[in-house]
Amino acid sequence: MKKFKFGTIFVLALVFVVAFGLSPVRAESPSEGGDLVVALGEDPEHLNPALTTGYPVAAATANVYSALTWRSEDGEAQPDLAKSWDVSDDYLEYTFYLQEDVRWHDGEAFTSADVKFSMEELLANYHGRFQDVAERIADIETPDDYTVVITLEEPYAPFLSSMTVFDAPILPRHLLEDVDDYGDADITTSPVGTGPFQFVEWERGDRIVLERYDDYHGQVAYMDRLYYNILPDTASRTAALETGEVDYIMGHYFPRADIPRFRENPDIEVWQGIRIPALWFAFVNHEHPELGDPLVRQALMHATDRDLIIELSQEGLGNYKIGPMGASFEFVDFPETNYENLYPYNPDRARELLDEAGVDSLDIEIIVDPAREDLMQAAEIMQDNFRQIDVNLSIDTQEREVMIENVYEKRNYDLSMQSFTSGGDPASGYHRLYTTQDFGTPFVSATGYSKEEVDELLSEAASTPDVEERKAVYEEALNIIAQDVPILALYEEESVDVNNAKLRGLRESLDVRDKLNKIWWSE
Amino acid sequence: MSNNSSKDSSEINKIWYYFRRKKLAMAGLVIVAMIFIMAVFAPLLAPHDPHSITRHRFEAPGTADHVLGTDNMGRDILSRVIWGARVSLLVGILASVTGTIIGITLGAVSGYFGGWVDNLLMRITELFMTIPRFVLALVVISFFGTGINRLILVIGFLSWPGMARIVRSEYLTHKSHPYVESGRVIGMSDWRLIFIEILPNVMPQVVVVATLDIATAILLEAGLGFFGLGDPNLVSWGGMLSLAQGYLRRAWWMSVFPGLAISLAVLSFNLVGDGLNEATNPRLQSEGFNTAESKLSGGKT
Repeated sequence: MKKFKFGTIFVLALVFVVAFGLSPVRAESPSEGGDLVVALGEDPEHLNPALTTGYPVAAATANVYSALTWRSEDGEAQPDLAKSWDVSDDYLEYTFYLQEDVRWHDGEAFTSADVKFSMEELLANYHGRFQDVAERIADIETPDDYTVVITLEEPYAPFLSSMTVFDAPILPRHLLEDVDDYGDADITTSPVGTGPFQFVEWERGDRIVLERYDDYHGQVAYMDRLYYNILPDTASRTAALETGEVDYIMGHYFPRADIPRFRENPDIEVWQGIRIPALWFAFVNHEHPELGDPLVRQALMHATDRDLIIELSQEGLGNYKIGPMGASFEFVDFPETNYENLYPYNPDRARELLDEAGVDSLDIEIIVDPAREDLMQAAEIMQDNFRQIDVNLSIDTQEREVMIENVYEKRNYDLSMQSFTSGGDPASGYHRLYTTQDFGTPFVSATGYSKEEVDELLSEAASTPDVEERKAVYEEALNIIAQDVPILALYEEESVDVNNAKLRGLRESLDVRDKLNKIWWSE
Repeated sequence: MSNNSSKDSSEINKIWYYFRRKKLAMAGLVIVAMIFIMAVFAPLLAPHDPHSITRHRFEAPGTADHVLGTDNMGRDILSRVIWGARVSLLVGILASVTGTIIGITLGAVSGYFGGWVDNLLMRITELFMTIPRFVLALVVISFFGTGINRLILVIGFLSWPGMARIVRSEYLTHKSHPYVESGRVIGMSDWRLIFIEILPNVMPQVVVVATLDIATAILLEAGLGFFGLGDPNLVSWGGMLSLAQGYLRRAWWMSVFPGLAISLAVLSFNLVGDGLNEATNPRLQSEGFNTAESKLSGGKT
């Protein structure tokens, strides 16, 4: 009896050990099913990503369309519609080998003709960022249905990273070749793509509905449906996440002030970091008699408490230990060009530099778009900072359109707060801050700064695909720029991304808007 | 016309007598006086520099250093409320004066001359009354840019129609009074009759409307500030509220105190305006009119 009991206990114990010890308690595996609700802060103007670079349009269509490549979190180009590619030794010829058997959501076959048509007819004419690439493209050839050969005029370092769905989405030729006005085409409001989700409906101002495309050429989506709920009011947008009505708010649409509250919520995951770097800065008009002097600009850098600006206007999300082109790209980050080493916050030193420049006191204005609260707050902090060195900075709020006219077209300003995205590569987004620019082009340098040497070095850097060589060219260029301080570079932004804590597989792509097919529900 | 000054002072005494007896109006007057003191002596009264930005952000009210707490940029809210009184009063009063000058001119000309002039001016006035003032102000300010001078001018140019109509109706009745008729007989010019003879008699009504216009102008300024169209270099209550809406859950004190200040200012000017209206309007002086009249004139009637 006693023996039997002992044996029973032993067997029971063994069963328990097997049941709990060997079962994969914590190892989750992706599961199919469920819906994902994403909040958008604004209704897209249409759903054609080839005609605009607007944020909501790309957000709503990045999973309907695909492109030759996509960029993983580390920024590397990954195969998408192109299953592989060859690059010639002189970096002038790119041969893309396309996936076969890819079908558009309407059943037509996808071929290299779609790629050529999209790039030549649509993107080169209408897509703001692709136009920079198109200027360097000499020729696009399609030797067969599944090969595309792109020849460049000169090497262009960010070329492969410009082939994503955000910079070069591929649209169906068969639905667009006979259309006179692309803006009026059916596809502009009901998209037909090759992406992991297909379009179901768009209730304007309310929501956009997508569903899984089972014949997708890559990882078929886990979610059954994808809803983009349009919630323009920030308070109701964040409340919707708390109540579970919405599962995911991309950083672009998440109000910074709510971050501390959501960090304390165990049902919500708050991700923080730098994905596509963006620089916050103030343009300086070099035609201004005092501001044209590099000593004065260095003094203003010393006088600006960049750390305080990040703490107060960005809830601490940002990095002020940066050089002229930030610090996120390793190949443009050098200790000797870092503004925190060169011009740390030091009002006394700032005053000395002003004295050296023979400037007693200064009355200047800063133009700010009042809709940009972060820029307004940064300007107010600079106003308070500058008072300590006898520089009277008055804030002039101008609506975006007026600001563009005064700053870029007329250059009728002293300082102006701005933020520019890098576009994923300094050559795409940051070179325009320091190269010689004519009057009138919006969103390039408005300073009037012009140095032949810098222009040549930056142009060389853009056409040097080898990273180590490129880094050496940048070092030379940035050493000149860091002494001239053409703009007051404040910080590089860190972004947040906020979602239901039960979601898995987010943020595998560099841009949070695409590859939502990789997301699944844990439980 | 020789005893004009003594007639004026007895008129003021009479208005003050009636005004004093209205408790709400007196309460309004006290608050208005307090706001005036705050605005004039802001540099002495404010414990901190209202623009001074610190790391002590979102401090709750009640500490010795920051009685009303601090905002999202670590600025002292009490100091900002005190300095905000300057902008509100300055814009309120100057805009009301601008509107009053325009309103009196148009109303007087319209009421005195009548005929097609009256018709034309009143149609223009009605046109201005039908356009939503706030929306028009938003458009004009965002087009021409912000700044306190522009705020005063825009709000002033938008707040004359009410004044014009009141003044016109007063002139309509006054122009047939014997003193005007006799002035005309002895050869006084129209302009002299309008601005020197009739205007002083219309002043009580003008003051009432102008006081109420101050309240409206303060509210309009706060509204524009709320939409980010105030003067970004000055502290204003509307601007403080605008900033606070992003932090409603995190720092209620950022919105409560400037909100309270706006409400009190608007309310108190309205109370004073209503009190003045009742004190100057014989029909509203209702009870005890005769006794008061006899007391004031020392029983000599």
